[in-house]
Amino acid sequence: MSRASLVARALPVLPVLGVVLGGCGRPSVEAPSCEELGVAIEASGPGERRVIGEAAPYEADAMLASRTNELATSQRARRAAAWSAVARVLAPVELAERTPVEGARLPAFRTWHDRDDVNRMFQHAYAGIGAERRRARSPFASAELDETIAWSPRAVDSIEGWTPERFEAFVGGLHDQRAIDALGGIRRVSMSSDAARHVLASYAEITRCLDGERPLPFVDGPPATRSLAHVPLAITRCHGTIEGPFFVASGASLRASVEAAADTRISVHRSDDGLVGDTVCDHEAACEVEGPGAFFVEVRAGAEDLAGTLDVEVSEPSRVAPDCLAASFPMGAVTIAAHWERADFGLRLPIFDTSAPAMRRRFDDGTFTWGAGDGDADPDDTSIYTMTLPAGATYRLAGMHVRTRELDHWLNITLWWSPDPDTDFGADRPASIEALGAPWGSYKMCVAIDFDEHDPDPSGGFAEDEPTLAAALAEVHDTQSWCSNPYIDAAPGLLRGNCVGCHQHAMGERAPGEIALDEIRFPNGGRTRTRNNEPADGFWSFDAGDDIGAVLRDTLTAWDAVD
Amino acid sequence: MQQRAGLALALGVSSSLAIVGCGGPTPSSDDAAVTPDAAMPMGTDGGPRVDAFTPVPDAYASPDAYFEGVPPFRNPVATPDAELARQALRILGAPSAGATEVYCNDCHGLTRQTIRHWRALSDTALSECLTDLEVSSDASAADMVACFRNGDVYDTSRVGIFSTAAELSWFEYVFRHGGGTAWETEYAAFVERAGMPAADSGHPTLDQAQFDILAEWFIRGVPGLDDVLPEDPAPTTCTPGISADVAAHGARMATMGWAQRNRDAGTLMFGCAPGAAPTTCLATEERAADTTYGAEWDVVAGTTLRVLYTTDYRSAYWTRSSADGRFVSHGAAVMSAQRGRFIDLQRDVAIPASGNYDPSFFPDNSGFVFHGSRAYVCEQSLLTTPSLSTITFTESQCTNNRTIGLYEHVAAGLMGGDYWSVDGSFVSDDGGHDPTLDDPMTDFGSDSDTDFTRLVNVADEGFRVMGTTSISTPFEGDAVLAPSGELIINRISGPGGRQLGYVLRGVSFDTSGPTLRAEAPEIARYCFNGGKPAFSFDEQWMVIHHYLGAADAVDLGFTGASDPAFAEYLSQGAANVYLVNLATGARTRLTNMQPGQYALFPHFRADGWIYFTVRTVGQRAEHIVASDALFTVGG
Repeated sequence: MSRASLVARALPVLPVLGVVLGGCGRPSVEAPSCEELGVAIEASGPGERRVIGEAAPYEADAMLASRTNELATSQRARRAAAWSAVARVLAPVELAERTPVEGARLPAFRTWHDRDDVNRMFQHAYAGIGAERRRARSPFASAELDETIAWSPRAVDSIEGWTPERFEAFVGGLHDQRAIDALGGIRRVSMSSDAARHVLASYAEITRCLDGERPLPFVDGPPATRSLAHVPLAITRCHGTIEGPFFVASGASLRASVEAAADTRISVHRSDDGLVGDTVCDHEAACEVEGPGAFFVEVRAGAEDLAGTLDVEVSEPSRVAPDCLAASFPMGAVTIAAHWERADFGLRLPIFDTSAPAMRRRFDDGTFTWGAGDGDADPDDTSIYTMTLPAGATYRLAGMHVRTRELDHWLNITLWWSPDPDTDFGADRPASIEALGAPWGSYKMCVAIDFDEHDPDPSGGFAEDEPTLAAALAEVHDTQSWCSNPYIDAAPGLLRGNCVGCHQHAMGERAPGEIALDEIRFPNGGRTRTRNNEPADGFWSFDAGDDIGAVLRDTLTAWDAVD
Repeated sequence: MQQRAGLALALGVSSSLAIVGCGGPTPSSDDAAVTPDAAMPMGTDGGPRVDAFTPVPDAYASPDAYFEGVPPFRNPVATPDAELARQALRILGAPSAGATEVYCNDCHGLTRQTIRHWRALSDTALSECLTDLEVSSDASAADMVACFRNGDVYDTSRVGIFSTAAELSWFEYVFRHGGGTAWETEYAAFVERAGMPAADSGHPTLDQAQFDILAEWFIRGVPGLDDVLPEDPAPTTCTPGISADVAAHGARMATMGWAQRNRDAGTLMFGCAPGAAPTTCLATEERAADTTYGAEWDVVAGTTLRVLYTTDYRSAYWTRSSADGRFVSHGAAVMSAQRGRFIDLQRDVAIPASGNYDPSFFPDNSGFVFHGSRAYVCEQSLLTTPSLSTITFTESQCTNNRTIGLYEHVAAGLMGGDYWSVDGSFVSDDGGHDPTLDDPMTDFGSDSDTDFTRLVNVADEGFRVMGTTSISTPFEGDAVLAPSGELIINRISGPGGRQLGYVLRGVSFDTSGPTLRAEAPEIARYCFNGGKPAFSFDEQWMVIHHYLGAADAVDLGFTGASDPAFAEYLSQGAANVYLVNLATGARTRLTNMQPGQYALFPHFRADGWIYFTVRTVGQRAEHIVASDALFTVGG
């Protein structure tokens, strides 16, 4: 997660503070500055990664969780928050290397880590910890993970066969935007840097679950914890920095800790209308406070310059610790599941009518299945995100799941392409998305954050200003929440899905299609909560989709034979 | 047209260039193919106009050369491919191109194979001998003159089609500057022994304009050849030839091919520490030399054969392995509905599968094909399923079709290309269970063709067949596709269905139109025999097995086939594995199997290790063996 962006978003009037400490002078706070199986064929290789550079940060909103009740009870507020997250996911970012395409940029999510990136990074990190720690399945130190993430763009330099001339020729071949867009490969799943880092950190738990017994659906245990911030620090002596605010729910607690010199102090202050308020904790090295509330975390260097990292964690009273991860995914984790459709051989893209009458017809037929579509289209790259792999194969991005861990049950967003994008689920598309330019104005969206629908208004508050959206929402309104993608959730029964109900079963030995059709064990099309133990914190792709768990296990197995 | 005069012919060339009789007629002055100036008028037959050439710069012509007094080697020609093919073949004397008089075809069979062989020689000449067309120094000229010799004599095969320019001014200039004090004598000897057409043929030599057409066409790779020349007759002999395309392809694959792509992807190789050099892999596997049955197998100094697995069943037909070397598969000669076997070397188990035979693995370690009642195409993740105990091919990771035929090989296009399968005419090879005394027959007829199937990854669906196409490959069969899908190699049929060697073809697909089309011109021919080959992942090598016969006795160290010590080979048979450098044709024998032992179905894994099966007459158990020979032989 980007520290600066976090602060900038959550605290627009409070940039990072410069603090002069007691003993060094009077302290003065200055102006604050559900994936199905798929077959992937072209990953983002090491050359591509160097051109892209490090994965672009996702600017997580640390206060979004404070609005959980509002988002749950207002479809309108929920959709606005979702569109805001989509804008951050799609935000264009510069490439690390200069290419023949002047000013070439990629949407942020296309810079994120795919299975092959994770594989390279895990092999690098695991090789570095030595035989003894490998045999013990020891976790990586935080610094080791940081080094690995930073190493990723340089991985190509250590691979035999990648001469400077070859890399130069590779970059020289990136002659148009479609080629630039292909840099991210065509793997189905990609992860923000915080998500990928967490996968690496959880390798021992993930692989243990892959090969062992799957966790029970209900367990009693300590509440889950997850990272809200992992911030590198470089503070000159007698100065400090402030991060936040971070929301802590009722019954939850926040813990802030610093790996740094002995005379480092850490304080937690209440947020007072977005400004730094009362100090509720002041200790060396670590602080812990109880919710509810929003809190700033302040770190002060002593007589020596401070170099280290600040970690802020929160417990989640509504969740138990995931069995198959070291902890829940951090707040900055975002996972993408993309659905690419081939655009060659005259193949046309199936299209889906999501207007109110069409949704009523679909739900009335009782199969709860999207079907083959309501027609087809042949959109060009001005209206649909398109890439051409170096061999010439062209693909269209028909849909994508975007799941951010800013909320307890994730902010579950899905986007799908539409030939009439400004109606029903695209009617409230905000200017921030339109400002991104083509083709992002061609995608419709739905969002879910909980198992149940708590907005009493079937029209989601859009009856007055967006009647087509209001009507469509009314057709899918139920006691359980709804959100389903016609391209990604194409399996039988998934039409009435809600993301949250399906993803609770990740690494729980049930496939999405099975969950949607087994009304006895998984009522309401799998939308109802049937477990408190979400072993993979809702991430399907450890043992499905791109099988990211398998690449971790393969590396362990290879080293086991050596160690 | 220049008449060659006063030069006696003594042609020291390879067999395909040997001239028979060669006292044939001289093209008449109205022969559109070979007469100067107005000799090739623009007529209704589209004949070439020698005064209408549009010089364009290229690597083989230097405008500066004029100013430095060096005659041009050739003048580039901008004629489109199709027309250029007709012009060039008319010059060579092909009636199908409109020639009315014989020329080269007075002495040579003007077949597609002959032309491609000449092209191979020409490519080699350009890369090895004609290395300084601007003749930048006398020393350089001397080097080229020396290169024109094969031993002590000038040799047409050293200059290829460029031998038709022997009497043009560029060659004279080279000899003048590089032939020493007796350059005139040397040059005369060159013209006499290496120049074409041969002096006693009675045919005139080419003028510069005609040579420019020929040179251009050959340098372009003889495009359009098959459109102008009729299909070749059944081959009766094999003439080796390797075009420069082979080395160029290998050089490209060295950095772009599947060996590199697997390194990029961090593919973990079986038996290797992650990131370790391939030479250090499989070190804990038993050395064949330490076994009783394999004590004599090693033959290449500094290399090691290791036994990876021993079956308790007889395999059926060929054996192939996954790119990472972890999975080895073949059919099994057992009475069961599950006649397929996937050996997981990591788990040390042979997993039964509800299929028959013919495994083929994609080079990116993503999946495989296996044959049963239909062709099953599965993702590799099926095989890595923990505790996998049986394969039914009904698993969610598998699809099936009836499009991919038996004896298939598969490939994956590079840089996000599609997947391909090739099949076609084939001869079954299941030798070594009983004494097998010769390589498989090659009864491929004039109607033999090679079929390509395109497999496209479709989201949520897996591999979907998306088009098929065929090319005519008369008298060829047992097609093997290189990992990239850009090469195929076929076994060639000769008289009596006996093999005449192998043909290597470069493959390109035209996917722009409504139907898939393929072209696969010959780029090399190798004149030794064996079974179905396999390409290395860098596509610079192939491996074959060869069933031993009488002709192999000397190579094995015997005095001859009648050597009493060789008698057991003649009765029990044996097969060895050979490594072939595709760019040079050099062949290295990797095994020294004993009578009744058959090293069969060799193939590469991504890092260069070679796997093969060893069958022994009269025994059920078979061995899966690995060789590290490439790392020594390949340098």
